[in-house]
Amino acid sequence: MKISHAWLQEYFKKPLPDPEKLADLITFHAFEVEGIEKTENGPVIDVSVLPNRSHDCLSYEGMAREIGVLLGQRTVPHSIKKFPKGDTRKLSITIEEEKLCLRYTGMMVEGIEVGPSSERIKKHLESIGQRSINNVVDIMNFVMFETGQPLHAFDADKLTSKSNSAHIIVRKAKAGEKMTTLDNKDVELNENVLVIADDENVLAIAGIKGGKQAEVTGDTKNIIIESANFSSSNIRKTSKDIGIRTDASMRFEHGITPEKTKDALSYVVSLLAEFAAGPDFIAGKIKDVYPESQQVFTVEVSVSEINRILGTAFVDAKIAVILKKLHFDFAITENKSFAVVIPPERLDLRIKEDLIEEIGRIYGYEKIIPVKPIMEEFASSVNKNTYYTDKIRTILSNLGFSEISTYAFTEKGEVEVENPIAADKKFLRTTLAGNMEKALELNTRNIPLLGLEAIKLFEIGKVFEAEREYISLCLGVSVPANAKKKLGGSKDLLFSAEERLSDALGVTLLGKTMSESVIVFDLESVIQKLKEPTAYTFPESGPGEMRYRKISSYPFALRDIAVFVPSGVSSSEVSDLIIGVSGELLLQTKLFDVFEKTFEDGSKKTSYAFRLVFQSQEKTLSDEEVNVIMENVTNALNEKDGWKVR
Amino acid sequence: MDTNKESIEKGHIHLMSQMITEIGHIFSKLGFEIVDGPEMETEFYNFDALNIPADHPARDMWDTFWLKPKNEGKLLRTHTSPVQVRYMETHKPPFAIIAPGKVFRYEATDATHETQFFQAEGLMVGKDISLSNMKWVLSKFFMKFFGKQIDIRFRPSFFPFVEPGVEIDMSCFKCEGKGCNICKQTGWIEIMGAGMVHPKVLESGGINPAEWQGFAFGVGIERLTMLRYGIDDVRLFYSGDLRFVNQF
Repeated sequence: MKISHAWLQEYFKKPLPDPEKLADLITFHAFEVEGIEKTENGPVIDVSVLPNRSHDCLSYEGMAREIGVLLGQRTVPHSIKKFPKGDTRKLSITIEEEKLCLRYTGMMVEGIEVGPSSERIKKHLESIGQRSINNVVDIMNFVMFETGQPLHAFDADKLTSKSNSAHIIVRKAKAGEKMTTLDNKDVELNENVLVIADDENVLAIAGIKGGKQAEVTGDTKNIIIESANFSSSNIRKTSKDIGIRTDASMRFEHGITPEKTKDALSYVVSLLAEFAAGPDFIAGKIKDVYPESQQVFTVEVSVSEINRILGTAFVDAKIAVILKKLHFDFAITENKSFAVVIPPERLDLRIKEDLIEEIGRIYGYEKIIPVKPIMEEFASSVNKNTYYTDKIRTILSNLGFSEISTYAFTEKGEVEVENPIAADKKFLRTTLAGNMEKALELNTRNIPLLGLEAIKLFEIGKVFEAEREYISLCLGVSVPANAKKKLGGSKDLLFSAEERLSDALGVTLLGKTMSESVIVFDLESVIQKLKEPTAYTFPESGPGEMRYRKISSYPFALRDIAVFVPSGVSSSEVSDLIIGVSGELLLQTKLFDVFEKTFEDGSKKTSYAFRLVFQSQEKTLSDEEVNVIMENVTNALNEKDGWKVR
Repeated sequence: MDTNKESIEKGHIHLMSQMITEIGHIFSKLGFEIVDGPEMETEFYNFDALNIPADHPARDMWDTFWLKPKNEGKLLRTHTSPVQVRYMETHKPPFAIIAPGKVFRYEATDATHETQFFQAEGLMVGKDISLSNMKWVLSKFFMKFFGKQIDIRFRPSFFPFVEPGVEIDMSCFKCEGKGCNICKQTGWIEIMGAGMVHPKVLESGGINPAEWQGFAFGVGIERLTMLRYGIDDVRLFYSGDLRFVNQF
């Protein structure tokens, strides 16, 4: 809810603190503040009213009350100026659905004159991003933002009545009934939708949107004002079904106290009398249908209960002070508890925990002191899945396998998603194999950059079958052609890993071969067979250094360099020099060949051959750029006594 | 740089797994039991038991992936809180549990949002477990996780399953409160939601709120990890890309 500082100030005698200070006060004791905007009409604080306070704080009245509590100041109520009352055409109201319409307060007002709005109301509405339409509509809107009570006006002369009086019926729509909204949208109604109707037609979708039938236009002279209250869950359902959401429906969805309707109506009429009255302006009798008035709630809470939840050490007197700050009426019960009378607009205060939160937030959570809990009697068993999956991760990483984590959503499967995020993500994966194949492909392309000889991957994650979800283990291996001789084929590496894993766990693993490169295991079933662990073996690690290096999206460039050095010079001496000269564009220096050679003159030399990988974070490196670096490297190597680049 | 042809170069455990293990370790040492639960859940355990009834605006706080067939109340869990309810049903207090696990949200994917991610939720229930105990436990956790003194502060908030409910900010581990780009110059980072377990939730778990009380908290593990390591894109975690995995 956007709160204009100037508008809010109208509720206070003393000048308000500046917006930044107000925002802090709100943040630490009430709601979240999204930001402060500087507008033509002064600063506007964007407050995220918590969902459980929408019923009382999506209004200036409510926010002012809340801020008044935080500042320790009383708020100034808006003045309701006297307005001319008298005999108008009779208005009668029938509520057919008492569970869906909790109160309907209406009034016939005759002799209005539709025209432009007053400057003050226009400015206030604009400051919170609301468009000015005409004086009547603006006043309805303005009072909704002021009080939190949505209001609606019907053109009384456009009603169809069986008799002389105007008859408003609050009923369920009939199957197939239709309505054209004020913004010309045709809506199909059904028997779950609550409507406001006259003797023949639907005039409005209750609490959500008015219809064109009884629209207030420039010529309107007589209006019926509706200040009503509707069941929040029905409004929410209907709003979702018909796809219309308004400032009014949003407020009804969260619930509003029916006690508000009368005051809001009087306020609206007083403003109409001031800003939209023709010479014959007359306000009729208030028609209030209120089948069951809102119950008054009293909630009891004791100091010890408060202290137990918050971890504080309040005495009774302190609680009394805080309750008074909140303007809550209370009595002390026989057993010394506080019996707090809940104000009607506070629909969120129903149990003692709700009151404890009020006390805590007003007192200030920053004052709560951390205290170590007593946990000696807490039983604790070792989680089998956690223990063994961690163990398996360690075994596999020691075998050179790296772990990947992939998406659960796939194109094919047994369990289908009702609302998939994309057309190719309609199902939950039944196997880890599909993603593994893709990952093997991706990583094989990057072998030089990674400085690896082969790609060995594993994933541990849930897979989903129609009747069962279970933890699966997937191993994947990809051996490039030039490494097959040295390492073996992918199948060999997979089977040897399966064997080593079986040995380490003490149970025979039977994997399902999905392809030459991929094998999967029902890990959950395997773990069930293993013995119960008695203690975790956690690695000793704390936070390392900030290690993440952004992955470049530009292609890498490869160069090989080989150099003869005198026997005894280590490969790291050579690579250190190469790295030093090349700078940060050199990402990988991999030794791939070493041999000794005795020359004709008897000197013994070692040849080291390195594969170098260059890559920039900013662009694709050109051949020339890389060549320049290689030239520098070559020169630097040749400068060393007895070193010769091949 | 000498490659020993006989020794195998060690593989890398995924950073998420490392973080989950570390978080589990920290809480285990504090007396918490590590618990897991199903990723496919029922509406009852994911919402109703947590005081989030159908047709209530509070449901809007979670964008849910529902599973077919429609109206059978099957979904992918939107938080790991269902694990807490399942545990309460089968264990008597006092106890403390930490439930790390994968959760799913129907959200457009970008650098800070994913459709699947990991959360760790904690629950401690006892005779007198209070907000001040929660402050102590979480302060200790952040200190262990970031390796330095971290202050935390509570701001009033709303979650249907806790009352009082709070948002928790931690002091910026990078600039230590002076202001930097990580904490958007405020010196504080919003990091988790928490509060005292709502009596209705305790009842759902078969625990008598007149006798027992406790706190619960939930944190996004990718978020914590991205902060600690300076990782700028959450999608990297699920890319299957060793250029990322092998950095850790």
